[in-house]
Amino acid sequence: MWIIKRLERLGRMAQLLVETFSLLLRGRIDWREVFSHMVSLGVDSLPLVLLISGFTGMVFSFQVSQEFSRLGLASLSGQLMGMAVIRELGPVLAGVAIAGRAGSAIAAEIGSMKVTDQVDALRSLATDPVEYLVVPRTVACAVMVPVLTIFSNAISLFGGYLVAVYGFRVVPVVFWDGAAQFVSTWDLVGSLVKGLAFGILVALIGSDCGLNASEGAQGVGRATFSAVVSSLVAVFAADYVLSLLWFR
Amino acid sequence: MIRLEDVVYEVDGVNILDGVSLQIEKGEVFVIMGTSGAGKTTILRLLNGLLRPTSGRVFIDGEDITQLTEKEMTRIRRRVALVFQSAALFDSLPVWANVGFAWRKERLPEGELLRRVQKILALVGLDGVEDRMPAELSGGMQKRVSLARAVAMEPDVILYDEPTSGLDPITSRKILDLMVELQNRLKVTSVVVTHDLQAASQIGTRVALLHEGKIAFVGSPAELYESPQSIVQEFVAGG
Repeated sequence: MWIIKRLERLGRMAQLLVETFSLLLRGRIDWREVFSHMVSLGVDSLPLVLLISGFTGMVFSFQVSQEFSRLGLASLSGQLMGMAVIRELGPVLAGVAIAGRAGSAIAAEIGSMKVTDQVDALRSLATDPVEYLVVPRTVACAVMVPVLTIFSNAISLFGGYLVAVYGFRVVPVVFWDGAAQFVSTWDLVGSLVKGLAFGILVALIGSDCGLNASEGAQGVGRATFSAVVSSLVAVFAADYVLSLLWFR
Repeated sequence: MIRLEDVVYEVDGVNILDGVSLQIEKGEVFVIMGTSGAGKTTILRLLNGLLRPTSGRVFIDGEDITQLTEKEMTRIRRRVALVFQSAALFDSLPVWANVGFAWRKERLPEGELLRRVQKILALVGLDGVEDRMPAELSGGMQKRVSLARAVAMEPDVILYDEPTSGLDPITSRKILDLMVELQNRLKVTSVVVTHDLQAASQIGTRVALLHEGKIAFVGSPAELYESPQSIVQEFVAGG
């Protein structure tokens, strides 16, 4: 039964993905809605992304620099930081922040519309709920999560730099040279591709949970919870798959 | 003309509608009555294509809408507007955007859009509420805005789901008067779901009584009161 329900949900998600991309390809995009969601889902998530990424970059640098110092290799911390942040930490942390903040917001907003008949009202007004609710949020997340990934990468590296340089006396130029040496254009593009994929996944999962919320406040609560959990799992699973494909 | 042919609607093995057949003529006000859970709202949702029958057929002007795809249904929904029991206004949009939702894609200049919205709001007796949010309106005002939103679609058929439920007697009366006035002005077909006998008598040209998913009675409001059927008498006595 559990498996059947999960398979049903996967099928529903695939259908939503196809519908959304079909509308996108036909140019059925309300740009005013997109810009509004870019602010509420993307720009407003920036402080959270900066906080999470900054602290994680600092902790990661602390652990790496400490171990490398013992081996007399502290100067290599920039190289490891650069590779780890651009390839993994930056996009994943942006994805986690967006899953928590935007995924829950999307599911709660659409879910409360569902249980108060507003989604049916859209249909009765000859408007496709996927076109009006899902497409703008998906485009907004697809644009903003790569942008948040750039900020996440930058602040993680900067946090790591501060710890390495002021905590373990790594020479600043050595840190940045090391990071630059180990990060290629391919890595940078891969980082943004991951951000793009995470953005699309989080928007679609949040929308699906909202559109299928059951009746009442409890239903909206369950949809929101489910959106956050599923988005987080999807972000980490997609990260693994994309890492295998991109950085092989 | 609207026609339902032997419509069955089943949920989890329970027949909400059990072989309902109805014919609603153009321009009439057809009232569907019945106890709570009798399947009244289900009929409206079937007519608007929000639900699909388990079996049977639903015709709007001779076209079988049960065979249409979701995309094709948008064409029907432009002609068959639904006023929800809960008003179902978009709570993140101000009143003007709710009423003007039907013209959203026309990209009208702001002045023209506002002029149209004010005209429709005047039709439902509202003035100066364009910039308010739905949460700032009373229940009666929300119903009026919901009606204005439906009228803005310029439909041939308006479906009303419990238009007076949850309203005080004075506001209920105003809403019913408004429905009659709109009916006279717009010459639409109206299908009204209610359990309010007084409302049915006031506005209905014909009344149907739904009982346990089946049509128990169809006739004029006067005939309803005179019907010898026990279920009808019980309903009238209870009302």
